Amino acid sequence: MIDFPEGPRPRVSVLIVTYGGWEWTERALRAVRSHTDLPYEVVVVDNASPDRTAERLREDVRGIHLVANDRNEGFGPASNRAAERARGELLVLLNPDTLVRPGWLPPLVETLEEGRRVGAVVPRLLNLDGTVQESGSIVWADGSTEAVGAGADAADPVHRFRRSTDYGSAACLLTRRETFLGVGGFQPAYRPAYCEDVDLALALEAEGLRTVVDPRSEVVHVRFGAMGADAAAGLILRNRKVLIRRWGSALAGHPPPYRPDRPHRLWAGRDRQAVERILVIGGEPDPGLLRALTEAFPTGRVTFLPARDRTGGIEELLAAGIEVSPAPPDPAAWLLDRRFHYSAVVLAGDGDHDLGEALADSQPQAEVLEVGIEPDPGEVLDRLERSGIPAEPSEVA
Amino acid sequence: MVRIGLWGTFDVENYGDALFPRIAGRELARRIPEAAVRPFGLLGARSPSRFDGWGPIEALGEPTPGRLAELADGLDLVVVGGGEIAHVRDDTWAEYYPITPQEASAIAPSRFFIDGLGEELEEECPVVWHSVGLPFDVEPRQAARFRWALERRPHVSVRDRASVERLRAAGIRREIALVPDPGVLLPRLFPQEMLAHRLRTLRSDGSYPAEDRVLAVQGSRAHLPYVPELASAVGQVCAEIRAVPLLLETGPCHGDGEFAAALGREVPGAGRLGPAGLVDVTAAIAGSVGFIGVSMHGNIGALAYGRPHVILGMNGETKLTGLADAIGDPDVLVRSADEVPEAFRSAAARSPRGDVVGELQERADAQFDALAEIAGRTRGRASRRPFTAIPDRDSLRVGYEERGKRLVIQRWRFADRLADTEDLLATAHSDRARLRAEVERLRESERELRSEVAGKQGELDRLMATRTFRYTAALRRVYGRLRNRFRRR
Repeated sequence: MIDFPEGPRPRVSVLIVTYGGWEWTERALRAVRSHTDLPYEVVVVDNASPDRTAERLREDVRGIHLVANDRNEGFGPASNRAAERARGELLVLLNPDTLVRPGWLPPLVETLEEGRRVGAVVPRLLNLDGTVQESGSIVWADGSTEAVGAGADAADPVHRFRRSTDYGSAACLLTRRETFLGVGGFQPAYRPAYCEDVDLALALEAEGLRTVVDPRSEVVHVRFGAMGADAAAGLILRNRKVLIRRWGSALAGHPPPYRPDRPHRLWAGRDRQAVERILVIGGEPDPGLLRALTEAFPTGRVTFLPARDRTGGIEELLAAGIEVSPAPPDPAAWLLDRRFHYSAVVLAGDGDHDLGEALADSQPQAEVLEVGIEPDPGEVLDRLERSGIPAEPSEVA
Repeated sequence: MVRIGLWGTFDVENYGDALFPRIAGRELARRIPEAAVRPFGLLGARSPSRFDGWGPIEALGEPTPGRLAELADGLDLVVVGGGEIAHVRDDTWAEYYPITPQEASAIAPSRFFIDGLGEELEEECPVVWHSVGLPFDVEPRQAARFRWALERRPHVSVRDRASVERLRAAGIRREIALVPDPGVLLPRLFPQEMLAHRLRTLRSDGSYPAEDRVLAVQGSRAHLPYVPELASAVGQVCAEIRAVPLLLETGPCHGDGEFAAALGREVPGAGRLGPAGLVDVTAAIAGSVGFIGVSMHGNIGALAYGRPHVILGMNGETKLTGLADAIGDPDVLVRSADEVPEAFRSAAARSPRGDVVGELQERADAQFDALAEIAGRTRGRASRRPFTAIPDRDSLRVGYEERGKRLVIQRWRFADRLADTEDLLATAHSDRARLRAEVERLRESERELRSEVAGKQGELDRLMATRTFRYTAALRRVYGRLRNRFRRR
């Protein structure tokens, strides 16, 4: 028996839509029960599972709100139904083939509540083997998508910093109930499933709201747990057409799909919403400078490229949304991968960078600032402003 | 300091709407150097647009007495203008803005655009109409509202004859100036040289065709039913003038993207400019060999830059009839797609129309002179009030982000183009190496053949030098004659 606490005022409603796959559902519920500390409730909509999932939910789980449909109304409409039932001001859309990890929820809530114009927050999704499944995703111009970091080592810092993303899988997604229902919830046009989350992110973006991936929160996702990969691929292909019909105009500003011989597209897609991108190259990270840059360009991208690998001391930088790259064996190739990506390159440290030619080849558009050792962040910002890169206009308090 | 508020729908995602505050702001500032011009739209930062990025558009807010007093306090003159905004169907703005009809009714644009600040506040801060349009007849029960509002205005001008007639039918007897749309002054805002520079950039990042002759084509969602016929007409025009078609989106809020996608499927080889800002769209039109479209300002731009143009008037919009009237050229307005080729031929024969443009610009200038004079009269009052022309930061932010979005798109396009060019270069290098190897192989083969021929020649020479060959010469001659004789038979 899984016993959920029943409180009068849940802050978060965890919404789960099931269609078969009781074994995974049970594990998902157990993980939620074990690793969720905030006041919450669980709403499960069973889409007429062909196995005995609904019965098992009734028999083996206590303290959830169960809606048992007599037919499969699709993932989107069932999620909307769950959202309408929810009592929490915050909603977590959670797939039944997920396993939330300890401490998964607070970072999501913190980012949603403290971030600027944040409409949804997603965790970093991991595969069962512990590798990265998705650290946010890119939507390409043709409506196809790319999971950032798929298959990468989970320890790689490139996939561990908080940032805006085109969309995040609804396998686990936190949003405000008001926001979700305000954009009409998930569109029923994608029934039975897939691409609703992409549509939701585009709808939020049209409202000026960002989707953010916060890798401090980690959730294991089995993927296609309730449906075979082939069936899912067919549905994704079909629903991509719906997506293009609804959002073709907005997608025209997205880069075309990534190809190995066009590596810059991956970074252009990942950082699409970051207007100013500042690359800091130096021996040691200068937290004062990096934080000042992040505060001046809160929707931008600040990347630190160290001369040598760092083993510690970067967690706070990652949590602040600063990308810390491992030291590349060939910095020129690293820069070429991100061709035309940066607005400015700040060369910090003792000046022994020897990257002049590589920068001229790969980042000819960037302002290059040599700032020396322990630069005054205010002075660096002034120099950026004088180079035509002023700090972002601040938000209305 | 004279603080001038421009009120309109400048925050809607539409080329013409976005142009108005730029042109009016520039013209007013040119005439009154100490002027501070603040454009206001319905939603401001809540309605980001690809045409943002020049300056902030502030939100008008809801027309509460407090808000009206605040606006009157912060401004010395209000210019309402730029488009078909003089109507009372407030809920219909939801079609163009990301809001519901209920929200649009609550914002009540007509309370601003028609009623202005109200009689009392307008004594301190006059409100004028400049180049507005009335898309609908004034309903009888609204006629008194229009009369009441317009009679006290120091200046009222509209941009088409239908609007004058609609106001007259509503019983308005005051002077109403019929003026050209200020879009005719576009070349002052974006000089040809600046556009040519921009066009080179667009060409180099691949968003504008490389060909010299480009026909700019635009339509809206309302033209989707005509796509097959328009595709055929565009194909015909392009074949006649040896141009490639380029699909433009001047009115994303009108579904131009849907039209471009649909027409693109029917017209082989059509390019698409995609999400582009004000300068890009203007550069595309000014750099074209002609424009075919429903966009009023697309057509005005083509006229102003001396390009032949055809107005797609299939849906009978009065503003388009008004535009054709204003430029004295009813033939540029077509009612069906099959009229397009002939209309384009005829327009091309008359283009450029410098005399018409000059006359329209003169009249537009006279209107701005009149506005400047009214603004000048407010100077005395202005000095008594504190200056509060600080636009809201959200508007600045939206402008910043929209400008940034265009920049980042341009960056990956450049990277793509560069990679494409490098691929071509690599292919060319590899082809050159392959061809060089082939040439070398052929040369070697030639050397071998020559050597073989030389060997055979030596052998032949040696054979012919033998006694047997010499002694049998007579016998070979006889044999030759006999063979020829038998062949003739």
